[in-house]
Amino acid sequence: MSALKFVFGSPTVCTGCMICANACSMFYFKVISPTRARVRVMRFEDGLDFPLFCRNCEDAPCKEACPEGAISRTSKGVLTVNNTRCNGCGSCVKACPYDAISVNPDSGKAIKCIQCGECVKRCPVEAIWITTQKELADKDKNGRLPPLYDKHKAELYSRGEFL
Amino acid sequence: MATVTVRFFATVREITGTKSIEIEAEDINDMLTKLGQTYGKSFTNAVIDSSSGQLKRFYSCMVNGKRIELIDGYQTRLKDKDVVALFPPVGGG
Amino acid sequence: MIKGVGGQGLYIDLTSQSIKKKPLDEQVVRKYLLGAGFLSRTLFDMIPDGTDPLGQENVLGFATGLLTGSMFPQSSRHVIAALSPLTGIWGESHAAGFWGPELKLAGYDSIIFTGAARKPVYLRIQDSTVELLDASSVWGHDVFETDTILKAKHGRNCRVLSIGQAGENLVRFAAVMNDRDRASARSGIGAVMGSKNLKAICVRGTGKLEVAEPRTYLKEMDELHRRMLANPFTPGRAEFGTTSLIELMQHIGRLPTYNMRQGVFDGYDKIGGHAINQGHLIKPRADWSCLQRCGRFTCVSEGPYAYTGGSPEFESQAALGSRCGNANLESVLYSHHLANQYGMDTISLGGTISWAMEAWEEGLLTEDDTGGIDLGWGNHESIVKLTKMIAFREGFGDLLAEGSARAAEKIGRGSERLVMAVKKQEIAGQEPRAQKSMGLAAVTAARGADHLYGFPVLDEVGFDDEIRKRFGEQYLPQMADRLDPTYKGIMVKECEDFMVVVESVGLCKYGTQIPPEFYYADIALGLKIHNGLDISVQQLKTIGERIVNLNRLFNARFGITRKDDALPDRLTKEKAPVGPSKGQVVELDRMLDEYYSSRGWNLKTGLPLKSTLKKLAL
Repeated sequence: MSALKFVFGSPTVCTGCMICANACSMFYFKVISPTRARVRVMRFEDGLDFPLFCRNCEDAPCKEACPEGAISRTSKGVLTVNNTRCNGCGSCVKACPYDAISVNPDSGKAIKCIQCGECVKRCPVEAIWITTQKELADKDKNGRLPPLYDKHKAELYSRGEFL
Repeated sequence: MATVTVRFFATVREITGTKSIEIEAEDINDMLTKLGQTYGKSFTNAVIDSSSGQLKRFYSCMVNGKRIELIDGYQTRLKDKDVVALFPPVGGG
Repeated sequence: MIKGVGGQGLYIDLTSQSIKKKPLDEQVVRKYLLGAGFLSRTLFDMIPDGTDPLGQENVLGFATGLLTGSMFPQSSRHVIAALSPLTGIWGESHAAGFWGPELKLAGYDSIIFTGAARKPVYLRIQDSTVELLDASSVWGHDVFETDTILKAKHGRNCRVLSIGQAGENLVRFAAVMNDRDRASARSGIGAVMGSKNLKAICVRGTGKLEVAEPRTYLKEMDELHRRMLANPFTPGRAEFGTTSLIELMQHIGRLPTYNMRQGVFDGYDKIGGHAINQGHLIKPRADWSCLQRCGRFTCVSEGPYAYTGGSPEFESQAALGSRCGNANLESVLYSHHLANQYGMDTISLGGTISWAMEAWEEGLLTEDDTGGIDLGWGNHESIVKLTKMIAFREGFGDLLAEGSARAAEKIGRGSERLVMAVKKQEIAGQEPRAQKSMGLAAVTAARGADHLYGFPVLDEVGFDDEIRKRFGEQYLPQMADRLDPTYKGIMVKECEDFMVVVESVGLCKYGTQIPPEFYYADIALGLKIHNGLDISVQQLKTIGERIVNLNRLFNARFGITRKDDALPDRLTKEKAPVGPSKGQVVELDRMLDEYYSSRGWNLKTGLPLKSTLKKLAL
């Protein structure tokens, strides 16, 4: 399989403006609503702002957890939700280690980032980009980014508490 | 020919890498040309509108606190000890 | 039905603890928009004549703009209004952040508070749940602690707006803060909140804004975003925010120094944008839908002034720096941080301390008055100490907490002439002898001395193109010349009308007035695609004029006439002593005549003519 892609962002570049989240909910649901976006943005008082997306995990716990078999991987490696099968039970939400999947309160269907790039092209500071694990490691040669995410992981990935 | 002090601010200072310079120039046109020679393309590209040869929109140049548009524009004559300030677009309150 | 709004207003009586919801009235919106215009109409009707600003009968209003929470660039803002305890007239203050958009996402456009709670309370909004809760866990706490405590209790994603100790202690220039370091600072609106025993409003909205034209929305907004990013101002805004205005103001002689004795400060480069960026800037930060990101996150890493938090903008640098003769940057940063923490307006804070410093220099204030605090120019330890003492009304801070005008009235001794205020509110960071339009705008602003009500920056460095576009070639070059009083009345009028519209739709003055990127037609487009409102450019202009006139009528009820539209003698009679504006005074009367004429106001009284009110359907 070709390397799995995901969207990732720099918390030191992100300004927290929410344009990614609003573009996402507008693009997919024709509304402005951060709770209906497939990206979350979290601000911290040490000056970091995290834009947070599906990491497109190799082992895909969301896919494994779905009792309806509604989550599958496309030929391009994107994990997508089949809306006909999804019944909004939320098992995937609980399974995701990155709080990157949620249930849209209007449709009752699970929603997640599918790396469409609509937010990436609108970010005014180029804080987010589509990447792979390898590319990211090359880009972040000094390993500056992982510790920043680690520092706040309890709040960033709270298994739904801060969704 | 007058010896004047040119002060740079905000993003212009980041290009020149210095707060100010003493320079000999007849007038503003002459001064801008000489600054271009001193600081090179990165300066000219940032500050000068290539079609008009004048400062880009919203850039301001002041001689002793007075904007050149209210004196003689780019022909404003310089005299010894004049202080010329060069600002990128900046303003407000 | 109006799209892209919360749809309901909250009407809360704190005395009886009753909470009512009313749908947004489209007729009011068509006449006054939302935000500042909506509050101007609502509070005009609700606040009785003779109201005590700190009494139960004052009404405190919060409102978002029509475009607040949209994808229009810089659409994060909300407005707060009440009768001001600082000026005794129309009080209004605005802030950016995320609180306004969150309120809309919870389903509300405005909140109107009447009465006063017997014990401290805070309002909690979680979508349809709206409740007044006991505030004993946060009363007495500062703004940052309150934010932390309420988020711990109600969830990390809440947006918190609150007062700090300054508001609780009824400091007359107390601010209302939101999202920790966003300040609705002017007019002492925080003291009104304190007087009502209302500590905070904690909002969580998980709803959605449905827009009028969803199919073309992103495409239209993309174009506005593209324009904002392409604007020549944007790179510098991102790099310096407003902090490098210090350097510009020094060069036009407009940097208030030594209590506005002069407009240049020798230590300017120590407190300017370059100085902040060297070692104190962590990163630029933005509010909702902001592409310019002039907000900064900063720190002082060690020493007595260590902190991490929001950066001062130009106004705070000038107020706590040059105005007080203070070139110690770390103390400027720190006293600004304390002002945020305790919830105070830095402009009035610096304006009041600098008044005291000049009175000290002239021997009108002594150690007997100050309790031993040295008020020599630039004594940064005293500035920091007083910031805290004012917030807690300790010792000499209790006098200064009244603001410079009242403090001078209390001590007398001729210190009144050193008060640099209009209608008891301290003049902001624009030495008006260096920019005449700012002098006029400070006296015509509805909320007392204020640079933002009209924000006439078109002559600051001279926006010839913009003046040509808005007014016509015939006004050049005079209108663009900051030292020439000619046409400034016309300019300030136009700018005020535009700015109140901007405040009523929830946009930022950066991106509309300066840089002049979005103008009426762009706002009309926004209202059409976001709200589904077909309001023409001409109608918007009329609405702006109507709001300004309504604010003036409000103030007329509280005794304001032309005689109050006055600057301190220093600025109209004493020539600027040094710098690029040396020899200048503000030719106020001449500009006022022109202003009243272009407004259709009586030249003698400064009040709107009947024909003007009729034309505006007031």
